[in-house]
Amino acid sequence: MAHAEAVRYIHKVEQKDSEDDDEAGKHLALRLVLLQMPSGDVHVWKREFCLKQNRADYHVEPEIIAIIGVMVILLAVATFLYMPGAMQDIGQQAKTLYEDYVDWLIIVAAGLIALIITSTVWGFYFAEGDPRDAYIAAAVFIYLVKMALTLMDTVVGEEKFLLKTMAHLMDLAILVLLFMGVARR
Amino acid sequence: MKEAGTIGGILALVILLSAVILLGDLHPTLRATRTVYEAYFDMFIVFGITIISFFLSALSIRAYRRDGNPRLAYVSGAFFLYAAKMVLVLMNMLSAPEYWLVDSVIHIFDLGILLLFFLGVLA
Repeated sequence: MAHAEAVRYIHKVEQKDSEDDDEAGKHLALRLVLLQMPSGDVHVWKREFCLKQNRADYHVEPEIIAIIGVMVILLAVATFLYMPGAMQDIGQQAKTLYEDYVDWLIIVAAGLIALIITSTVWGFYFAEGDPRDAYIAAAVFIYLVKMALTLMDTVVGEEKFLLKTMAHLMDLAILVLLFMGVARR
Repeated sequence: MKEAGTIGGILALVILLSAVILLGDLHPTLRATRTVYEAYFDMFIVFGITIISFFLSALSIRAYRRDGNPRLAYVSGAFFLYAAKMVLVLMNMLSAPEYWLVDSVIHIFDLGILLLFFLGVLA
């Protein structure tokens, strides 16, 4: 395949309007062009091509929209109920109700998820030895401890085991560890 | 095993500081200082966490746009929720003494963050 022809082929692949589905032909064309390019250009071209391909595939997962949406709705409801005014009484009643029944369920669910994540990621670390997994597993482990202390506070009914400053320190440690684990990926 | 040392150090620091805070809270005289550090020291920590979480959120979104790995999308969502949670906590602290943020909202945010991390790990 001539160089000019290969370049045309590459342009077609980049524009995604190629009617030719011959994958082997595309790969051959790409390889030919890359072989004829200076090494620096190959690197730049490859990077730009990959970026274009990934941007074309870029989309937000529906689960993320659902979870963030639920958070926003709950926050709006809580804020509305606690605003001074006619709804404040209903808000206080609702608070007692969910502090007694719903709150600990949420904490237990969060704790269980943290337990699954931390055990899974520790498993990855011991199997593959990637230090990034160790940082993430340690961060989620602190999250797990935080959830356990929060549950103990909820059962006792007062801030006794997890003081606010402690919770913030734990949040800081979690983020530092996550930073070390995720930022390098 | 550099990571073992770093993780051990961070865990030891958290345990040590938590022990100091808890013991200080048990002592009647030291307990009076709690209001002071909750008003000033806490603000610095929360402000720092908010900045780090926004930074991590932006970093992971950038990484996702570059790599297109769905794991990074979940992690970005989790960091975004973390940042949102910290903004709420900070706003609540600044509005003192009229606190308006309910603990349950924070717990729900924690659940959301962990759910997204869970999806990210298993994706």
